Amino acid sequence: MDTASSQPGELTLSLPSSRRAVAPAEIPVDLPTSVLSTLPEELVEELWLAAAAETCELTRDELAAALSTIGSKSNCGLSHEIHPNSAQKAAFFRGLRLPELALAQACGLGREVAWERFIALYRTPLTQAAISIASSATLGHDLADSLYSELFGTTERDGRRRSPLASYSGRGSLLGWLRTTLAQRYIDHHRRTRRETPLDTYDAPAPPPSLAHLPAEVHRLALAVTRTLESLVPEERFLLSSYFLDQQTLRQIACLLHVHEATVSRKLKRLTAHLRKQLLRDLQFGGLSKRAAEEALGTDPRDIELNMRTLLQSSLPDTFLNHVSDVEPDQR
Amino acid sequence: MSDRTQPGQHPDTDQLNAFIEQALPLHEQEQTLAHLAICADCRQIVYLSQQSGQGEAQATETTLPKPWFSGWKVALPAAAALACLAIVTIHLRSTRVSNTNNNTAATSIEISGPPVPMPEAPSVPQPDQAKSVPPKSPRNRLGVVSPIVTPGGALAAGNVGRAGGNLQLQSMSTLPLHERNATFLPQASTASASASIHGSIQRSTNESRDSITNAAPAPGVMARSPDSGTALQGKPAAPEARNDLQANATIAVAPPLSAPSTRVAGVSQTVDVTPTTSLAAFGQQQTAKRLPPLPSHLSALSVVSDVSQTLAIDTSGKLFLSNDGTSWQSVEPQWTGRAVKLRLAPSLPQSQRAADKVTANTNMSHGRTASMGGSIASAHLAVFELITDTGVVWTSADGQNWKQK
Repeated sequence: MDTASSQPGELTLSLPSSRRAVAPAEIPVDLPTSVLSTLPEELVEELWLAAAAETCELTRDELAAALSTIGSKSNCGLSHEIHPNSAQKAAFFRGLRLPELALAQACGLGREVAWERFIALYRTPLTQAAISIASSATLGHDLADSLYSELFGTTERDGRRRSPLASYSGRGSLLGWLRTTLAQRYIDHHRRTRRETPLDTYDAPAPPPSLAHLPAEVHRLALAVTRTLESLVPEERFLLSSYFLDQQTLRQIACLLHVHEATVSRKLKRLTAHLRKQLLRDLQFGGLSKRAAEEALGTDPRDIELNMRTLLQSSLPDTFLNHVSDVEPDQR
Repeated sequence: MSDRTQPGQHPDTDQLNAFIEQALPLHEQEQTLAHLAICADCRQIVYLSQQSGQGEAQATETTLPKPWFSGWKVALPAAAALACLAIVTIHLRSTRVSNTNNNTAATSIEISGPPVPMPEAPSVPQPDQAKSVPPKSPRNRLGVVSPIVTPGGALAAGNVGRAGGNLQLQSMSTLPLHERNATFLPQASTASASASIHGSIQRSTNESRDSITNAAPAPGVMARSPDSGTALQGKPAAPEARNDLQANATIAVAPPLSAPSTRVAGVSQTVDVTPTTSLAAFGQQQTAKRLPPLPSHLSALSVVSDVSQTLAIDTSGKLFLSNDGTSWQSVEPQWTGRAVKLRLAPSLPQSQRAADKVTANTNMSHGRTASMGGSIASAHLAVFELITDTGVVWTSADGQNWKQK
């Protein structure tokens, strides 16, 4: 995932040849007029006031355009089968972090006042987050500086500045968005440097072995494991992958899922027990006796040439495919 | 979300951030979780972002100034628990001590010495249970005595405190009883073949007497000498003996002895009493007689009683004699130095006691125990001894005429 490149759907800015503040009138903003017409003026006025957009030199039209883009992209928080009415739209817009959204949009449009505020508010936290992610002060500072330049809009497309800040939707916090962006950039950096590894030290992975040459019992067990793992629901897969593949701690998983550590522990214990039962049942269904199935489960895992990562990470039907298809190509 | 710049379909930064902050609607949350379950890169981004946020939060927490009393949040409950524990412990301890003071007064008698064989009399039936007689006379109140009986049945006078074992009896006093007398009356001619010991105990302080008099009478005494293995069972003493004794306390003990043909009465002996055990456990009948205050109005430093006489030294070193137990008369000092201790000692050497036991009826000479009636093994079994502060021992048979030993 090369997230360093700009995302589609971002607002275009003027060229950053002149670092002076760009007047709002000079910014060619692509406003989705069709959506603008759907937002009532009273709601736009209310949201504009709530966002304190005036302090960021963001006009009502610019805010309304950004809101319309966000509403269209996420369907106002509803599933794509539902067409939101005006009340649902208003509720969705009111639930956004409007001040942070206005600040991000103003920064994306190159307003100097907004940038000053942004730097005053997020400079230090962003650097600390970068250091925390990179686990190195030098790398952290480099990572933060590169992100700053990118946020300011050094990337150009079709002769226009593009700032990733324009993709901020206001559903989460701006600082969290910045941290996630930093993490993406750090992983991109890591992948780039990994690609630059010399060939003499690069150990190409062996091709995945086929199950055909395995002994019959082991082959049967491998098939049972494959079937059992494929039958897991996404949350169970996520737990297994996070705990066993990514080596994340119970606390980290619990924090991400907003549950208690004990809950994660119980779920994992229950899940492993369920997997064992399912494997036994599958093996017995395949013709083994209960004792033989239990003996088969005691097979040395090294004898089973299965790539658990591949099994757990095997792509399900494209999760976001339908969602992406609903979005217009400009807004991706 | 982009499918042009990234392989496959991935949630964008905004969606991942909203997932971390639980800001997504349910269907998007499930979609993102399903993607995270199969995408290691997005999981890594999510965990990195989350950890950086936690690191910042921890850094913020560490920089926040803590109030001065924040450390007490842990210490205060611990201190309160310790205080409660201490209070409960003190309360329980004080309650236990008060119960001990009110209900029991422990006195133990330790008697050491060579074991004395106890002959049995097969022809004489043994009493099953210890019996005791309620005190008929106010004089017979308290007695805690370990009888030492020679194989012949006679009492080894003056050697009572050195029996072949440790015998601990319960008494009620918590104060030290330094000297006391005991009278051993083995009734050889009785069918029960029991021996009675009547002891007198005088204590040196009035407080101890008060506590002793509060004790309730108990039915009997039963004790066991570990070395000899002989059970000493309480038995009512002979009424005539008890009436004749000038003892301040009496204990009736009936050891299972054979019935010798001798009868011993009026034996005075000194027994060290240590207050350690409970009276109630033995059910011992104990009372004490109040001694009148000394003429010097000082407390008694040492008190010793014979069957008919009581001697006392006050804290100034003056010696007083009482013949009736109610009045004192001063004894002129015939010794040099200051008298510090009184005791009873046998007047005859150990080698002559066996002969005395054989000729018990003919050896009643001093008359102090002659009034008890019956034969007495040894008439002048004990003399008073007075010890001065220089360690010189003075002896007297009547308590008035003293000569240096």
